[in-house]
Amino acid sequence: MDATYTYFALAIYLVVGTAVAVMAKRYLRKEPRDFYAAGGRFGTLLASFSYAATTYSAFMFIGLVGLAYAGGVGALGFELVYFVGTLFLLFFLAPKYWSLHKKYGFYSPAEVISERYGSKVVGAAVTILCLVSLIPYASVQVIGIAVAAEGASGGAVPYTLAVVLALVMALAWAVIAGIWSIGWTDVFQGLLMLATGVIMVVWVYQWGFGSTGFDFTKLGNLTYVPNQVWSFSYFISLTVPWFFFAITNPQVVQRLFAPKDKRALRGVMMWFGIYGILFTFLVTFLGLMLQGMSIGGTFPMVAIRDSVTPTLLSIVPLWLGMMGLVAVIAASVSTIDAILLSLSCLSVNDLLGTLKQDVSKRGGILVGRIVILVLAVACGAFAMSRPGLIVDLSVLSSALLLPQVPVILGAFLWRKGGKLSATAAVALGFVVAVALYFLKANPLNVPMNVWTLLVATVAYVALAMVERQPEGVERFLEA
Amino acid sequence: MLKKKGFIAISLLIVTLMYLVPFFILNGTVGPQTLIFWTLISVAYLVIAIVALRGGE
Repeated sequence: MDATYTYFALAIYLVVGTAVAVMAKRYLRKEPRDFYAAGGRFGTLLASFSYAATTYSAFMFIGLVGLAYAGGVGALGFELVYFVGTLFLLFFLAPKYWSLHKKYGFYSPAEVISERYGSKVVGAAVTILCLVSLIPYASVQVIGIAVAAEGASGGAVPYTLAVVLALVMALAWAVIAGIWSIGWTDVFQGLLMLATGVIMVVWVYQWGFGSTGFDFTKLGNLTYVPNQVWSFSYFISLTVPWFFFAITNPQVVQRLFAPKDKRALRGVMMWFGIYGILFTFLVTFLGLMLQGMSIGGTFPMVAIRDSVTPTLLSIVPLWLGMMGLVAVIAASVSTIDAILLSLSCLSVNDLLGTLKQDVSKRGGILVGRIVILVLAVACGAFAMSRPGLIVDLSVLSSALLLPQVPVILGAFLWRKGGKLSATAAVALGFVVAVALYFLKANPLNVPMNVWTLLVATVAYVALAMVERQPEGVERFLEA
Repeated sequence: MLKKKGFIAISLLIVTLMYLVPFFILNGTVGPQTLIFWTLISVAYLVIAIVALRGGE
């Protein structure tokens, strides 16, 4: 696929997506609650696709395909542990977040935490943690687009230009109408991602195994775990932060405020479940098939796992390559715009709002838009340094967010705990996560992510036992 | 209607099995067994979750 067709695919996507985003603007009421959480007015379709498209990102089309290709079936298990964890956590906590939004008007995940622990300092600490932690994950989305465009065009589309184009799209769609433009573009993108996944898997199967069938056993040790990629320790290290993704990532938590009623909220969980399991199988099966084809000599052996999908896009027929590229872009943009929006919300509401109480509604939205722009530039700068593999960066983000786990679970499930225990858990957990990451250390052969979770939990529980609980805890326990 | 405690118990059991069975029972088994196991247990969990959600109506 040459540069002209790659630019053509990008242009079509940009025009259609921007048209959808502009159309969505008429739903926006000019107040922060509506800009960030749709004022709790999303129906089942919008709420479900927005949740699914925000969750599934470049990580899937680029990272997970590559991980399945290089490491085999362990990639499926890894993603399915995330899937089961998400359903489990949503079952208990989604109704609580939704109910708190309806009763008290909360639209920021950090705001919920501040109110529960009786101090805005806790929300500010969570916000700073999210700002630092989510830059790598947002950058991953940009990297995914750039790598796919560069690979699909055989290098004709420069990485730098693709980074800029990706950021412009995400930025535009987040700024135009906040969650409304993001939600509607997510419907279009979510459908596109799933349809492309199905078509790509069917086409690759026909191409590689149409006459012979896929002999799974030829993948050898990639058909089981542990193998050369997936040790038990590595599996735990990746799955622990991913298991809690649904409560530690503010961009997905914020989606739980948006459904208009309980029926729509249940719809989010059910349709996310059906979408998620289908999409996971498609993506991992694609990676496994491509490995089978490499072994059989019908697909090039790819050494860098993030290059598997771009290599495929450069080989398949033009129409499929364009469709695949657009799907990668859709998966990435639908996540990065949600992250930018969510981080903007936290910054304005839980940092700026803590420092300056009298920000007007319109002023809040304006500052939010400026923050989105600043964050986008930061993500671009990070992506330009080509910092690492997509799966590793994604898991790093979730690992840095892990210290929130005891604070969030404790907020809803335990009567004890106040601002000291919550802030200490976030701060100590973050220090441990950063220190172990840079030291590449797994003390006592326990994965670093387990240590992060353990230290944050011990700090939280120990201090909560001696700390006076704030007033109004019952609102959160009974929500 | 599935009670919440029952759902927690089933969830914890399923997550535990997702770790233990592939790594300690199916380890070294060449073939689709691990893939099938993870697939079936996840689909089963999705069905259980949907039933539990609908039971909460």
